[in-house]
Amino acid sequence: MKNILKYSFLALVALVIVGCQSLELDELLDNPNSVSPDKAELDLVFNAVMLDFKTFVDEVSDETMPYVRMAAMADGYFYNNQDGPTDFNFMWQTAYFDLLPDLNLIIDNATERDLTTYAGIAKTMKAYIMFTLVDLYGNIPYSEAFQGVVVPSPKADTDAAVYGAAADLLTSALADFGNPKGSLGGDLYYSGSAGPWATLANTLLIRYHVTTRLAGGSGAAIDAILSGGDIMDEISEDFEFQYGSNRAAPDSRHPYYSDGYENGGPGWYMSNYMMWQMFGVKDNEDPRLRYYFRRQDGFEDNENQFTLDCTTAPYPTHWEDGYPWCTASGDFGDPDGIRGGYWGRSHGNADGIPPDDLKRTAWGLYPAGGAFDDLPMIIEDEDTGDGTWQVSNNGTDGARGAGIQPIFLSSWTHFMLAEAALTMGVNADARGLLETGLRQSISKVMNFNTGVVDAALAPTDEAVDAYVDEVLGLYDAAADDEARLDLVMNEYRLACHGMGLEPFNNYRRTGYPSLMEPTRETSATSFFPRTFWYPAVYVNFNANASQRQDLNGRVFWDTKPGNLR
Amino acid sequence: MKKISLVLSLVLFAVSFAIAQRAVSGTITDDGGEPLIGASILVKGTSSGTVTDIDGSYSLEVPDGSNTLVVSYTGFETREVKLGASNVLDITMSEGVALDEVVVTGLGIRRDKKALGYAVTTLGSNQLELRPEADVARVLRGKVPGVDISQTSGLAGSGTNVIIRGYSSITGSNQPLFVVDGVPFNSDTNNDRGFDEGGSSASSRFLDIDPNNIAEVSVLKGLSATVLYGEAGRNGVILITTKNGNIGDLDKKFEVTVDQSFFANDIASLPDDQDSWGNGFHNFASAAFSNWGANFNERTANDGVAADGTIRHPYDRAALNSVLPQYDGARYNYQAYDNLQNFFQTGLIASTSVNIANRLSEGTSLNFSYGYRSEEGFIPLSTFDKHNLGLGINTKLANGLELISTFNYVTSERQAPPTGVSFSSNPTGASLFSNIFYTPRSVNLTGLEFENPQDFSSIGYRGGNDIQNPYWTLKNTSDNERVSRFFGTIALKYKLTDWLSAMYRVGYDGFAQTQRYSVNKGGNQLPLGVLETSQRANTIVDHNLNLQYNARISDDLTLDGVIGVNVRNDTRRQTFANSSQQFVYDLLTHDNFINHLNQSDTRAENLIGAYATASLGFKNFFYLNVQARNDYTSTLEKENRSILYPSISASFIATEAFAGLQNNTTLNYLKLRLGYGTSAGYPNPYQTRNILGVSTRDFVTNGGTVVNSNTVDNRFGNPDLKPELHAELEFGVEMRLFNNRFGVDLSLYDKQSSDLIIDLNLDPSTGYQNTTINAAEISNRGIELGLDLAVIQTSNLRVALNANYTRNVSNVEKLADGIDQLVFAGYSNLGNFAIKDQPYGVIQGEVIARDANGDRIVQSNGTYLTAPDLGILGDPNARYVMNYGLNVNFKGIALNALMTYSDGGVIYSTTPSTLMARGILAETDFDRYVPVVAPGVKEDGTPNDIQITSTQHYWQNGGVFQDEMRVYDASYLKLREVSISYSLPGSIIENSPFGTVTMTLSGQNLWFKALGFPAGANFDPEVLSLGVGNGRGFELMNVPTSRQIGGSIRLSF
Repeated sequence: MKNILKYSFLALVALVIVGCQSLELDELLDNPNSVSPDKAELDLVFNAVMLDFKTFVDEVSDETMPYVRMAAMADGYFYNNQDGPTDFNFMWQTAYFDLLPDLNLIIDNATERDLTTYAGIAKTMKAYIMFTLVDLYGNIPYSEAFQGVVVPSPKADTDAAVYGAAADLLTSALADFGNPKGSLGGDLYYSGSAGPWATLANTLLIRYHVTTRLAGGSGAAIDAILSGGDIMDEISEDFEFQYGSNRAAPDSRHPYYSDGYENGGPGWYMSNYMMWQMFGVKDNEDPRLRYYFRRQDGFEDNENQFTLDCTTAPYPTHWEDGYPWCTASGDFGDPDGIRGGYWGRSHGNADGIPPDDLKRTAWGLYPAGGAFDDLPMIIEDEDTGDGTWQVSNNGTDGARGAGIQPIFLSSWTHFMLAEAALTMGVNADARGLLETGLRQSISKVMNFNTGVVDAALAPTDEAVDAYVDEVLGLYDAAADDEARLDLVMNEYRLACHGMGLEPFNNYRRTGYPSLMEPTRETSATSFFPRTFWYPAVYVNFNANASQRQDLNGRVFWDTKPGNLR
Repeated sequence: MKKISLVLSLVLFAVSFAIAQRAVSGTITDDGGEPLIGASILVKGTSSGTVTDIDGSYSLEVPDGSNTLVVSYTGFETREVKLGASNVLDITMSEGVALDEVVVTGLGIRRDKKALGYAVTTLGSNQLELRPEADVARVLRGKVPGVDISQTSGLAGSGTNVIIRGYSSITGSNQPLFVVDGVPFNSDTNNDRGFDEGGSSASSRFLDIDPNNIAEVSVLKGLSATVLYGEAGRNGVILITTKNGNIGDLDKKFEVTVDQSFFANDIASLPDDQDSWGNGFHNFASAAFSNWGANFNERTANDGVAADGTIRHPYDRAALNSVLPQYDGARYNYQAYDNLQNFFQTGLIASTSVNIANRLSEGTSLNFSYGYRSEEGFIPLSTFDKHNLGLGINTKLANGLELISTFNYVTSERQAPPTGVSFSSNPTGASLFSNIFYTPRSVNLTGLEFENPQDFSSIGYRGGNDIQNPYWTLKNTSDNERVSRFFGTIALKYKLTDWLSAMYRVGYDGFAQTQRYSVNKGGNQLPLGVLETSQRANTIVDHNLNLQYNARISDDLTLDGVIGVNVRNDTRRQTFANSSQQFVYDLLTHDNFINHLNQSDTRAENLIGAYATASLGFKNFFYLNVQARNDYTSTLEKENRSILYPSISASFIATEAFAGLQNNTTLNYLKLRLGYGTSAGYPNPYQTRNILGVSTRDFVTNGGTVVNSNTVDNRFGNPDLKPELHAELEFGVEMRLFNNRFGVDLSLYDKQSSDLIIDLNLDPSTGYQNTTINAAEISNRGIELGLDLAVIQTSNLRVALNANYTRNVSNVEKLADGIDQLVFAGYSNLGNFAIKDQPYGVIQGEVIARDANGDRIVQSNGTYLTAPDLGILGDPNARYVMNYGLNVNFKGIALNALMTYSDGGVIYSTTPSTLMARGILAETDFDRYVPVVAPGVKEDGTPNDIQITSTQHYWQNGGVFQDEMRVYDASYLKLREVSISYSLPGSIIENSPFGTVTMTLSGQNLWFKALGFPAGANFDPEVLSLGVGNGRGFELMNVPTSRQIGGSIRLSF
């Protein structure tokens, strides 16, 4: 009996020692690996926003550039299969669950605490995001959004309504900036104070009116902003994200650089047409050519159908004469045979990927922070250059990735206002705006990381003047305002290198530039997309969403009749 | 099944001194040659008899006039054997008679099988030990109806997926609970990386159990059987009793058993390649990924091969000319080479087990076990070593208090190659196997240098050097896993009265797992080098306190059961360190890397449960069992944390109930059973509250400022989360017919799971990425059928066949409102989906666009158009699985064979489709100059007439570009296991020190045929490239299966 007591006692002791902890239930509900949301700090939330914002813009640009021939369209033979619904998930996610809840938190919190500068900046960024989502998808959830499982399937608002709400956000932001309180710490775009953000907000309001000019956008409103507000008309006011050069942990470089300048060659194909435009169309070479593109191969005539399968393919029969075929400096693009290695892809060449990643043209110095193209224009014996021409050198080339993501630049303001002057009766000189836009764009590019530029190969002032003069001459020779607008849109597009959204919107709104390279394959049913597929995460997880039948549905401001090529 | 009918033995022993007329002796063994200890032998028609000793031997005096012995043993068929002229009579007994079988049920309580209202399958040690596999679950494969066991791969020590009666949870775990010696055993599969970067090869922690040290395994399949285990038992329970935990007989004599096994471990199959065409594209020899190059035997004008049959040497390229000058300008024969054959090896598996059982003193016995296993895989980089040390001590004090204890310590080390997935070329992350199988025929992989002599980086045949050389991978990568684990139990039992006893048992299971993944710099997928280490310390502490009662109410009525409480604490602590950018080549310390990222995670979960059962027995033919348990969890908010779930089941033995059926030789036994069980499921911890996203070092600005951030977390914490509910109705019939020669065990079940906790992806426009909610419903209905038939049964020869049939049909009844599908495994655009009114887990992926008639649409370039939306590619679940067993016993020789036929289901498989699309498989040996027109219609609806090259057709229309073309019927036939064993007869070893000497030859995965695949692929579809979990039906070129053949010897003294 004594033993029983002894053992029972032992058992009880064991129960008490281990058991007590095992009986806790409430104590284990809070996650010990994180803190509760009320510990959020506004400056730190803004940091997340600032970084996610550049990710969003980068993604928007990546998705839009191929359509407007700013990078090669190489994922689909036709517009409707260049991208599928899943390709837009990332953009939708970045906007809706990374950015906007943080921005809403900042706006609510800053409004409550009367930190108007914070609120204004957040509203300006939110407006840009909402404009962009409408531009790409049309009707989108807004008024029922952001409520978690309270509204698990938010209904879409009309595109016009969301656009209007975004414009109202800009107006509200401008009111906040009129009475600025607080200063944002660690602003990754501007100084943290209200001034430059107000400049941006005014410019985005003009952009709103120009974009909607066929759907109620008002020239008078633009005139009013021009007369009263400060707008982004100097390079120093550019809205852009400055990348760093930290290679890893975290990789803080421009994504184009991380992609191409490390190992194994670039994943991107440049657009043959875009490259060719910069040396094969005008008498004068575009001064930005060596900054925009960095070739890896000097001569592509010695390739076979394996590395460059279009070498044996005929020029597409449905194309007008005169476009570059196969590569930009191939036989048709460079009839004199004085350039080599502008190795991109034709529009809609979705063939498999041959082992050409150490041969194709890479993103250059601007805006990727890559290398300036200081190579001779042609090298016939490829073997001598093999290895030394390539850009994949473990992140040691060029500006080491310290590039920028252009979001909205002062040069673009001028091109945009030129359109407003030509089409909306805005009181401005379109020719003068075109020239300023051109000169600002060239100047920005040529003053970008000058330390890694081979000065001997940098364009001279005379070369720049000659180029500008040639463009202005073409402008003067244009038959009418439509032709002038066509020319302005083309120059605008060339100035947007690295940011596809503005040209993608401009093309749909104006139909210009009018003679871009057609797709390689013909199709009676695939026209230039007027909206994107809705993202799969939206269609699949939202009971009120359904996928569109085709890509022909238009955004409310896109009303110019006819299909685009 | 060495069950000792102690009482019976003693009684028989007492009466065995009959008048001697004739002395008969011999050995009594089971089918596998195992001696049966304590089997009773009676001289028919007399009271004289004996029991066998520890070696299974007996000797008996048989009176004149008697010529028949009656041999009986619990769980075995009673046999009557005629005496011949010889005085030596060895008798083999067969298992299978269910009449008086005692099985282990919930909480380790042993009960008469006939009283159970639910299905339990019990396997004895002879069905588990001396097998090539180290993994207890794999040893069970094919032996238990209703249990679906799949290996993830053939890699030494890789994980195993176990699913009982279908998947009932959508995004939660569907793995069963393992209980070892009465205590929950952590059987997680811990991955540091996702399946796409090698996580699928991680071990499942039941690997820490030594199959050679198992006395018995019981599989509780239905919810009426598992109620006592609480919510953790909702996916079924695998009850393992180790030899250390099974010291039933406290007076066991000193016995030592030694097992030694050797097995050869090979890759199960290699594809048949064609030998006519080499590396290149469009019939032109080049350093492509593909094998659509020139013909080896005929030269054409422009095929890239010189007239002398040579091409430029693959290493004659500018980047290598300075470091490998011998190849500058060198030529290379364009011919077929053997690569795969040279790449793989035959690994050796050696396994030693020692078991010592001894009685220390009156009432105290111990069992000691030690096992060592050393395993080499079919590639040099794959090894597995394990030590299992165990001790069990039982003691009974004079006052009646009994103390039962087990202590086990395990250490193991597993070394594996990195195993990422691949879809046709380079893998995601580093991976050994991805870059070996599609090696073009004209590349002599074995004969080429694999590393750059200057910087040790990988070099390969491709001009751009963009394939990591598999030999470089072998030398420069490693995925290592070390575990040390302690688990043990201490139980105190005390008999309060003759009908009531009390028990307290505490169990502890704790392991430390260290993983180390390293890749030197210089490769292709992780060019800068990586070192990732992780530590996990997981513990389970489980207390059980209960009262067991067993009362006879009247002559006809018995009542027994248990009332108790269970408290369980489960903790996990993990730290991860990731270093990237190696500084000095081949030094793999964290200090030698430039960038570091660390992470830690802890979680704790408590569960309190109270349970009670009552089993009412009427006249040995009707039993009614009622059970209930109430659980309280720490993972749900207070309002939702408690849940009660009951079960009820009944058993009716018709052959006992009706006088007319008793002692019937045609229908020997008929039992009907019916059960209804319920269970709950709790979410993982910390799903009910929102948290703040915190992130450091997000970005370093151009000025060098480090940016850290806060953010609204993307997961929505759901405070209203409740437990999920499972309910199952089960009906069964057990029969023995024709003098017990034919047995049937049938179960039908219908399981409905509702309020299922799902990890729900939200439309991001809700502001959140995902949440956890109770929303879905799923049903599983199935049939389990076991059949056994003694075809021949004589005293010397017994031939028995058995078969088991498993069919489970699942249906997703409901998902969250507005959600018609969700992906839970794989990728969002290619994975296993739950789709309303479809079987659970259907595979969706990209499909080819079709016109209204269902014809494939061809684009203007002659290749198929991809549809914008995903489509269903098939159901990965087999329609049914049938296992066939053959057991032959002939004079001490036992032959066992197990064959599996799995019918239906699909598998998305990248290895065969890639080998086809890349022109390597034997099936691609045709005239490749003939153009091809893809079957289908053009976009305008007219029949396709666009000619394309065979290269283009096979490459772009053949599978690599369209998911739809990579899906195969997964039906297969497999000779899973064969063993032949022979026990030396007692007459030979009589004068040796040995009690038994048994030799066994065995092999597993000896032959297979996948019926839906190209024959040349020789493909074994029994792999799970998504790893252990809910995904299935994917083979992503990560690791093929293995085949093991070898032998064992068992000696006992």
